Formats: sequence, C-alpha cells, structure tokens
Amino acid sequence: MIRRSALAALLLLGGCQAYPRDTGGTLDHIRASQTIRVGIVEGDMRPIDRARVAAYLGRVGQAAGAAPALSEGAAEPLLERLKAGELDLVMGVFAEDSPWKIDVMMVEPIRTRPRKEKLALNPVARNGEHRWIMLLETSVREMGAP
Amino acid sequence: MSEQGGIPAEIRGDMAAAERLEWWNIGWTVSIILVMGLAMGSSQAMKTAWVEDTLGLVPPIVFLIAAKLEARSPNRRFPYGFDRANGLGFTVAAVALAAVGLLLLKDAVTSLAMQERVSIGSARIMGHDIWLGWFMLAAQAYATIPPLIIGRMELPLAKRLRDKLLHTDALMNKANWQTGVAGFLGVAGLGMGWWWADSVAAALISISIILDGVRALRSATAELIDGAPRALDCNDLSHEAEAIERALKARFPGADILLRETGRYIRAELTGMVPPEDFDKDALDIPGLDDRWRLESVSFRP
Repeated sequence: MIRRSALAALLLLGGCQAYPRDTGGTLDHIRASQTIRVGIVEGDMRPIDRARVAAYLGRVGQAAGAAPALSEGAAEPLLERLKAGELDLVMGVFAEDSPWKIDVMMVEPIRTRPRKEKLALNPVARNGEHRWIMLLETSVREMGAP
Repeated sequence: MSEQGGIPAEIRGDMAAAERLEWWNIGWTVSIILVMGLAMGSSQAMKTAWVEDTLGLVPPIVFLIAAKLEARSPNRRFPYGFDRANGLGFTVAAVALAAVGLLLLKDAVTSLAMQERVSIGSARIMGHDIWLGWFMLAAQAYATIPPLIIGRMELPLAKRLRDKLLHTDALMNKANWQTGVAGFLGVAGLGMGWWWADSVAAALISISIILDGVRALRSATAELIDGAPRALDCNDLSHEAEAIERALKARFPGADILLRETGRYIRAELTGMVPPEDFDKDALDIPGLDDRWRLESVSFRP
C-alpha cells in the first residue's frame, strides 16, 4: 500500500514537472529540433536593442538547449507567421498599447524606451504556449534591467 | 397580514435567519470578488467568472431590501402594503440569473468560434518563478466553496418561507459554484494544453444556468401579471393554491374562484358571491395547506 502510494506520488510529481504544457507544443518542438525560429522586427531596432536581443537569445537558447535561427521582416507579417506556428519567437519594439496584445503574448520587455515614447523591446510568443512563455519570462528576469 | 403589515409570527424566526444568511452571503461574495480580481490576470475566462460573481451580489442585496419593505405597514401611498416587494425582487433576481447564464454562454461560444488561446504567464515570488495558473486554480477552488454551502443552507429556508426570491438566490449560488468548477477545470485544462477546455466546460454549465434563469423568469412574470400561484421551484401551479381552490369550491359551490400571489402570500377572490356574514377564513378547513399564514385574504365580488 505504501509502495503504491509512493509510486503514485512519484508519477504525479513527474507529471507536475511537465505542467503546464504548451498548447502547440512549442518548447517540445524547440528541444527536439534544437532550433528556435526567431523573427526580428526590422525598422526601429537600435544598436543597443540589437545587443540586448543577442544577449537575451543567448540566455533563452541555453535554457532551451537550442540555437536561434534568425529571420528579419516587418512586424505584421512576422506576427502572422508567429500566430500560424511558423515562428517560435518574435523580437521587436512595440507600443505599450499595441492592439496585437490580444492576439499574441507580449512578454515583459527586455528594454524600455524613455517614458515619452511609450515603446518597449518585447519578446513575443504565440498565445497558449504556457511553458515556453514561462521560459521566456524567466530569461527576461534573469537578464535584469539594462 | 399585509394590510395589517409585517411578517407573520410563524415565519419571523426563519426570516431573521434568512436575513443573517444573506449578510454572510454578501460578505463571502465580496471576498470571492476580491480574490478573483487579484488572480484573474489577463485571462478572459477569469474575467467572465469575476463578472458573474459580481452579478451574484444582486439576489442577496435585493432580498434584504425586499425583506425590510415587506415588514412595513401599509400607508396612504401604498394602501395594499409591501407584499409584492418580494415578487419584484424575485423578477430582478431571475433576470440576474438568466444574465449570468447568457453571459457565460456568449463568452464560451465566442472563444470556441474564434479558437481563442489564452496565455497564463508567471510571476517571480521570493526568487521563484511560479505559474499564475496555480493562483487561478486556488482562486477558483475558493470561489466554489462558500456558494456551495450557502446555497444548500438557503434551500430549506426558501421552502419554509415560500420565498421565490430566496430560492432564486440559492440557484444563483448553485450557478456560482458550478462556474467555479468550470473555471477550475478550464484553467487545469489550459495547463494541459487543451485550449478549448475552459470554453467547453463553461458552455455546458451555462445551459443549466440559463434553464434555471428562464424557469425563474417565467414564474416571476406570471406573478407580476396576477397569474395563478406557481410552485416554488418550477412553473407548475402551486399544490397549496390548488388545495385552497378545492376547499373554497366545496364551501362556495356556485362561485368562480380567482387566485393570485403577492410575494409569499396567496389571495383568493370569489366572484358572483355575496360575502356570508359569518365567514371566517381562518376557520375554513383546507386539507393540503399546512401553513395557514399563506392564505392572505379571501374577498368577495358579487
């Protein structure tokens, strides 16, 4: 009886470590392919922003056990590709009240612009990818403020 | 009773108990609203549950207002007294209940149709990154318990008081704990990667809530337009009203008997009859009517 209870508890704990899961299996896919498909929004990306993005992607890659595969483009097409599952992550400068916040998950910014601009450099993930989003959020917090 | 004003002595104890219970109901509901408000984050499902919990304040508040009015004596502006305050409150509560069900269904159907995916992030607490879904699960579990207990305590009181408003509040509490269960299963399902879990659970439960709300609305509107007295928990005619009708028909065979409800009381009107000099409604034998206070008045219209 005690052995069965212990086994059940171990199985449950094992299950808990995999909880929450990604709706689309993003993190599992990244770990299996060892590749993070990243879209970089071109345009208003300053040198300091690019440096922060590079440092951030390094952390994320280490945590996920994968290397980033970069592509650049305009914000709208990249976010549509993200929603369609063709990208795992988009990095770009977005407005604080961006209408895209309903359709995608804008993670805490890795850098904010001066207050008057109301812009921030955000990692963006597909909605519902809870485990992947948690990894992205943890990486932002561990990076700390610029 | 109403033209003399006040609550019958036979049910004063139960009315006082119901009023105390409704104050507890309000207190617990406010605590749930605060907890859910803190835990909901950007989850639409949690926001909907928060709105529904807020609507859950309507029936107990309306009950307390109606109870205060019902205890008043008739006056020049309200010569028939305030019996119908309970009936009016019943209508308001029934609308609130139906609104909760419809809101839940609309939100669930929209989410399923749009294939909306909800993201639940994390928070760093004491150096640990914790998934916010755990807080939502705890909030939903907490939101389930008080309405489950209070709703079950309300039901026997509602039956003894023949109080449809209190009964509707019991149904609202049932709706609230079922919504809590749906929300819990929904968040748990979201964590399993099932984006549809929350919406499907909410849609199924909303159907039950809407049916309860519609049933209550039918009964409430019947009372407002002087329909025949209805049973406490459905739109069927009240057995007590049927017992009164049988007793009056036996005593006055040639009369047409009209019955209506004013709050928790039944009023009878006999048409085509001259009132007998020695008639005492309290002395009339009515098999099937255990609580005589229910029969408010018997009037005659020649």
